[in-house]
Amino acid sequence: MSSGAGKKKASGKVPVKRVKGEPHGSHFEAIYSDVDKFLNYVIGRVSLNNVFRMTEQPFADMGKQFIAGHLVDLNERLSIAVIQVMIGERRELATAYPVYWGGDRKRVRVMEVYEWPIQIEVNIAAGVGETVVRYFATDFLWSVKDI
Amino acid sequence: MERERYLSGEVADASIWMVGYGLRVNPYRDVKIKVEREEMPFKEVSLGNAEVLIPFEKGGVLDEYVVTERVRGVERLPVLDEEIYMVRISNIPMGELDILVNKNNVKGEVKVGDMVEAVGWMEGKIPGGRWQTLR
Repeated sequence: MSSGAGKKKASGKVPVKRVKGEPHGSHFEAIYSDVDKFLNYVIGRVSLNNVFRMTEQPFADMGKQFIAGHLVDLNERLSIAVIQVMIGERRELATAYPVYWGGDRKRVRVMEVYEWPIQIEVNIAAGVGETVVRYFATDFLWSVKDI
Repeated sequence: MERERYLSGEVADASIWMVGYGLRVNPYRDVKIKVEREEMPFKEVSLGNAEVLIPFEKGGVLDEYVVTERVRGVERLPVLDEEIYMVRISNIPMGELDILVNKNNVKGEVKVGDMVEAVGWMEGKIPGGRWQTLR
Protein backbone atom coordinates (compact mmCIF):
# COMPACT_ATOMS: atom_id res chain seq x y z
CA MET A 1 0.00 0.00 0.00
CA SER A 2 1.45 3.29 -1.01
CA SER A 3 0.74 6.49 -2.91
CA GLY A 4 -0.07 8.52 0.22
CA ALA A 5 -1.73 11.89 0.61
CA GLY A 6 0.84 13.85 -1.32
CA LYS A 7 0.14 12.81 -4.90
CA LYS A 8 -2.47 14.49 -7.08
CA LYS A 9 -4.16 13.11 -10.16
CA ALA A 10 -3.21 15.00 -13.29
CA SER A 11 -6.87 15.59 -14.23
CA GLY A 12 -7.76 16.87 -10.77
CA LYS A 13 -10.99 14.85 -11.01
CA VAL A 14 -11.59 11.84 -8.81
CA PRO A 15 -12.95 8.76 -10.61
CA VAL A 16 -16.36 7.53 -9.46
CA LYS A 17 -16.96 3.78 -9.55
CA ARG A 18 -20.10 1.81 -8.75
CA VAL A 19 -19.72 -0.72 -5.92
CA LYS A 20 -20.02 -4.22 -7.35
CA GLY A 21 -21.62 -6.91 -5.23
CA GLU A 22 -23.44 -6.28 -2.00
CA PRO A 23 -22.44 -3.34 0.18
CA HIS A 24 -22.67 -4.15 3.86
CA GLY A 25 -25.79 -3.39 5.87
CA SER A 26 -26.29 -0.95 8.70
CA HIS A 27 -25.14 -3.36 11.41
CA PHE A 28 -26.81 -1.45 14.21
CA GLU A 29 -25.98 -4.30 16.59
CA ALA A 30 -22.54 -2.65 16.66
CA ILE A 31 -24.21 0.30 18.41
CA TYR A 32 -27.03 -1.31 20.40
CA SER A 33 -27.90 -4.93 21.18
CA ASP A 34 -31.62 -4.85 20.38
CA VAL A 35 -31.82 -3.58 16.80
CA ASP A 36 -35.63 -3.39 16.67
CA LYS A 37 -35.80 -1.38 19.89
CA PHE A 38 -32.99 0.85 18.68
CA LEU A 39 -34.59 1.55 15.31
CA ASN A 40 -37.92 2.30 16.96
CA TYR A 41 -36.16 4.79 19.22
CA VAL A 42 -34.31 6.46 16.35
CA ILE A 43 -37.19 6.57 13.87
CA GLY A 44 -39.47 7.88 16.60
CA ARG A 45 -37.25 10.92 17.00
CA VAL A 46 -37.13 11.92 13.35
CA SER A 47 -38.77 15.30 12.94
CA LEU A 48 -38.52 18.57 11.07
CA ASN A 49 -36.48 19.92 13.98
CA ASN A 50 -33.53 17.65 13.25
CA VAL A 51 -33.33 18.02 9.47
CA PHE A 52 -29.77 18.77 8.38
CA ARG A 53 -30.27 18.44 4.65
CA MET A 54 -33.07 18.53 2.09
CA THR A 55 -32.13 17.93 -1.49
CA GLU A 56 -33.27 16.49 -4.79
CA GLN A 57 -30.93 13.96 -6.31
CA PRO A 58 -30.57 10.63 -8.12
CA PHE A 59 -31.70 7.74 -5.95
CA ALA A 60 -31.31 4.00 -6.58
CA ASP A 61 -31.58 4.32 -10.36
CA MET A 62 -35.10 5.78 -9.95
CA GLY A 63 -34.17 9.24 -11.15
CA LYS A 64 -34.20 12.35 -9.01
CA GLN A 65 -36.10 12.05 -5.74
CA PHE A 66 -36.59 14.30 -2.76
CA ILE A 67 -34.21 13.35 0.05
CA ALA A 68 -34.34 14.51 3.67
CA GLY A 69 -31.49 13.89 6.09
CA HIS A 70 -32.11 13.96 9.86
CA LEU A 71 -29.73 13.79 12.82
CA VAL A 72 -30.87 11.90 15.92
CA ASP A 73 -28.49 12.41 18.83
CA LEU A 74 -27.61 9.40 21.01
CA ASN A 75 -25.23 11.37 23.23
CA GLU A 76 -23.01 14.44 22.88
CA ARG A 77 -20.51 12.59 20.63
CA LEU A 78 -22.62 10.20 18.60
CA SER A 79 -25.65 10.67 16.34
CA ILE A 80 -27.53 8.60 13.84
CA ALA A 81 -28.08 10.11 10.40
CA VAL A 82 -31.49 9.03 9.12
CA ILE A 83 -32.05 9.54 5.41
CA GLN A 84 -35.58 9.48 4.09
CA VAL A 85 -36.72 9.52 0.47
CA MET A 86 -40.04 10.84 -0.80
CA ILE A 87 -41.32 8.67 -3.63
CA GLY A 88 -44.53 10.21 -4.83
CA GLU A 89 -46.67 10.60 -1.70
CA ARG A 90 -44.72 7.98 0.21
CA ARG A 91 -41.96 8.75 2.69
CA GLU A 92 -39.55 5.84 3.13
CA LEU A 93 -36.43 5.13 5.13
CA ALA A 94 -33.56 5.10 2.64
CA THR A 95 -30.65 4.47 4.98
CA ALA A 96 -29.27 5.28 8.42
CA TYR A 97 -25.76 5.28 9.83
CA PRO A 98 -23.79 6.51 12.86
CA VAL A 99 -21.95 9.82 12.79
CA TYR A 100 -19.23 10.49 15.37
CA TRP A 101 -18.43 14.06 16.39
CA GLY A 102 -14.85 13.35 17.35
CA GLY A 103 -11.84 11.54 16.05
CA ASP A 104 -8.33 12.51 15.18
CA ARG A 105 -8.03 14.80 12.18
CA LYS A 106 -5.85 13.47 9.42
CA ARG A 107 -4.57 15.09 6.25
CA VAL A 108 -6.03 13.05 3.39
CA ARG A 109 -6.15 13.17 -0.38
CA VAL A 110 -9.35 11.82 -1.93
CA MET A 111 -8.31 9.32 -4.60
CA GLU A 112 -11.42 7.36 -5.61
CA VAL A 113 -15.15 7.46 -4.92
CA TYR A 114 -17.14 4.20 -4.85
CA GLU A 115 -20.86 4.86 -5.26
CA TRP A 116 -23.25 2.39 -3.68
CA PRO A 117 -26.25 1.24 -5.78
CA ILE A 118 -28.50 3.48 -3.67
CA GLN A 119 -26.52 6.44 -5.12
CA ILE A 120 -26.61 8.52 -1.93
CA GLU A 121 -23.90 6.57 -0.14
CA VAL A 122 -20.26 6.26 -1.09
CA ASN A 123 -16.97 4.87 0.08
CA ILE A 124 -13.88 6.99 -0.29
CA ALA A 125 -10.37 5.75 -0.98
CA ALA A 126 -8.12 8.31 0.64
CA GLY A 127 -4.39 8.58 0.92
CA VAL A 128 -3.45 8.91 4.57
CA GLY A 129 0.24 9.27 5.25
CA GLU A 130 1.94 6.42 3.46
CA THR A 131 -1.14 4.24 3.06
CA VAL A 132 -4.62 4.24 1.54
CA VAL A 133 -7.72 3.83 3.69
CA ARG A 134 -11.24 3.23 2.44
CA TYR A 135 -14.02 4.70 4.54
CA PHE A 136 -17.76 5.27 4.43
CA ALA A 137 -18.25 9.01 3.93
CA THR A 138 -20.89 10.11 6.40
CA ASP A 139 -20.90 13.65 4.96
CA PHE A 140 -21.36 12.62 1.35
CA LEU A 141 -24.96 13.23 0.55
CA TRP A 142 -24.96 12.97 -3.22
CA SER A 143 -26.54 16.34 -3.66
CA VAL A 144 -26.98 18.66 -6.55
CA LYS A 145 -28.72 21.46 -4.69
CA ASP A 146 -30.51 22.40 -1.54
CA ILE A 147 -34.24 22.82 -1.53
CA MET B 1 -22.95 18.03 1.05
CA GLU B 2 -19.26 17.44 0.42
CA ARG B 3 -19.79 16.13 -3.10
CA GLU B 4 -17.72 18.69 -4.96
CA ARG B 5 -14.93 18.61 -2.42
CA TYR B 6 -14.67 14.86 -2.73
CA LEU B 7 -14.79 14.80 -6.51
CA SER B 8 -12.16 17.49 -6.84
CA GLY B 9 -9.58 15.25 -5.19
CA GLU B 10 -9.05 17.84 -2.53
CA VAL B 11 -6.40 17.50 0.14
CA ALA B 12 -8.30 18.09 3.35
CA ASP B 13 -8.34 17.35 7.03
CA ALA B 14 -10.73 14.49 7.67
CA SER B 15 -11.90 12.67 10.75
CA ILE B 16 -11.77 8.89 10.33
CA TRP B 17 -13.00 6.43 12.95
CA MET B 18 -14.02 2.79 13.19
CA VAL B 19 -17.41 1.39 14.19
CA GLY B 20 -16.48 -1.96 15.65
CA TYR B 21 -18.43 -5.20 15.33
CA GLY B 22 -16.27 -6.51 18.15
CA LEU B 23 -13.10 -5.97 20.12
CA ARG B 24 -10.81 -8.37 21.99
CA VAL B 25 -8.25 -7.48 24.65
CA ASN B 26 -4.74 -8.94 24.37
CA PRO B 27 -5.81 -11.54 21.78
CA TYR B 28 -2.31 -12.59 20.79
CA ARG B 29 -0.45 -12.19 24.11
CA ASP B 30 0.57 -15.87 24.22
CA VAL B 31 0.79 -16.47 20.48
CA LYS B 32 4.23 -17.17 19.03
CA ILE B 33 5.27 -18.35 15.60
CA LYS B 34 8.36 -20.43 14.92
CA VAL B 35 11.12 -19.06 12.73
CA GLU B 36 12.85 -21.79 10.81
CA ARG B 37 15.67 -19.95 9.14
CA GLU B 38 19.28 -20.57 10.08
CA GLU B 39 20.37 -16.97 9.55
CA MET B 40 17.89 -15.66 12.12
CA PRO B 41 19.30 -15.21 15.63
CA PHE B 42 15.96 -16.18 17.23
CA LYS B 43 13.64 -19.15 16.79
CA GLU B 44 10.33 -17.66 17.88
CA VAL B 45 8.47 -14.40 17.26
CA SER B 46 5.78 -13.16 19.63
CA LEU B 47 2.66 -11.63 18.09
CA GLY B 48 1.57 -10.04 21.36
CA ASN B 49 2.68 -6.55 20.35
CA ALA B 50 2.03 -6.79 16.62
CA GLU B 51 0.40 -3.65 15.15
CA VAL B 52 -1.55 -4.28 11.96
CA LEU B 53 -4.21 -2.72 9.75
CA ILE B 54 -5.62 -5.27 7.31
CA PRO B 55 -8.54 -4.80 4.88
CA PHE B 56 -11.30 -7.30 5.55
CA GLU B 57 -12.76 -7.54 2.06
CA LYS B 58 -15.59 -9.77 0.95
CA GLY B 59 -17.11 -8.97 -2.41
CA GLY B 60 -18.45 -5.45 -2.67
CA VAL B 61 -17.52 -4.37 0.82
CA LEU B 62 -14.81 -1.76 0.73
CA ASP B 63 -14.45 -0.30 4.19
CA GLU B 64 -14.02 -3.16 6.67
CA TYR B 65 -10.74 -3.71 8.50
CA VAL B 66 -9.04 -5.72 11.20
CA VAL B 67 -6.81 -3.61 13.39
CA THR B 68 -4.57 -4.57 16.30
CA GLU B 69 -2.95 -1.78 18.29
CA ARG B 70 -2.20 -0.49 21.77
CA VAL B 71 -4.87 1.42 23.71
CA ARG B 72 -4.17 5.11 24.41
CA GLY B 73 -7.49 6.00 25.99
CA VAL B 74 -10.95 4.71 26.84
CA GLU B 75 -14.20 6.65 27.30
CA ARG B 76 -17.69 5.40 27.96
CA LEU B 77 -20.65 6.94 26.14
CA PRO B 78 -24.29 6.14 26.99
CA VAL B 79 -26.61 4.84 24.27
CA LEU B 80 -30.12 4.42 25.70
CA ASP B 81 -29.59 1.92 28.57
CA GLU B 82 -26.33 0.51 27.18
CA GLU B 83 -22.77 1.77 26.83
CA ILE B 84 -20.50 2.43 23.88
CA TYR B 85 -16.76 2.30 24.46
CA MET B 86 -14.68 4.86 22.61
CA VAL B 87 -11.30 3.15 22.47
CA ARG B 88 -8.49 5.35 21.14
CA ILE B 89 -5.56 3.47 19.69
CA SER B 90 -2.35 4.57 18.07
CA ASN B 91 -2.03 2.86 14.73
CA ILE B 92 0.80 2.45 12.29
CA PRO B 93 0.36 3.81 9.63
CA MET B 94 -2.84 5.78 10.36
CA GLY B 95 -1.95 7.51 13.61
CA GLU B 96 -4.59 7.84 16.30
CA LEU B 97 -7.87 6.08 15.59
CA ASP B 98 -11.05 6.04 17.69
CA ILE B 99 -12.98 2.76 17.75
CA LEU B 100 -16.65 2.86 18.80
CA VAL B 101 -17.85 -0.50 20.06
CA ASN B 102 -20.80 -1.62 22.17
CA LYS B 103 -19.68 -2.83 25.60
CA ASN B 104 -21.54 -6.11 24.98
CA ASN B 105 -19.28 -6.79 21.99
CA VAL B 106 -16.04 -6.39 23.95
CA LYS B 107 -14.18 -9.46 25.21
CA GLY B 108 -12.09 -8.54 28.25
CA GLU B 109 -11.63 -5.35 30.27
CA VAL B 110 -10.13 -2.60 28.15
CA LYS B 111 -7.41 -0.52 29.83
CA VAL B 112 -4.87 1.99 28.64
CA GLY B 113 -1.73 0.12 27.57
CA ASP B 114 -3.52 -3.09 26.55
CA MET B 115 -3.21 -4.48 23.05
CA VAL B 116 -6.58 -4.88 21.35
CA GLU B 117 -7.91 -6.36 18.14
CA ALA B 118 -11.00 -4.82 16.57
CA VAL B 119 -13.03 -5.71 13.49
CA GLY B 120 -15.30 -3.08 12.02
CA TRP B 121 -15.91 -0.59 9.27
CA MET B 122 -14.25 2.75 8.78
CA GLU B 123 -16.33 5.90 8.67
CA GLY B 124 -15.22 9.45 8.12
CA LYS B 125 -16.08 12.99 7.24
CA ILE B 126 -14.32 16.15 6.28
CA PRO B 127 -14.61 18.28 9.42
CA GLY B 128 -16.59 21.44 9.35
CA GLY B 129 -18.20 21.29 12.75
CA ARG B 130 -21.43 19.65 13.69
CA TRP B 131 -24.05 19.85 10.98
CA GLN B 132 -26.68 22.48 11.56
CA THR B 133 -30.24 21.45 12.32
CA LEU B 134 -33.21 23.54 13.33
CA ARG B 135 -32.77 22.50 16.97
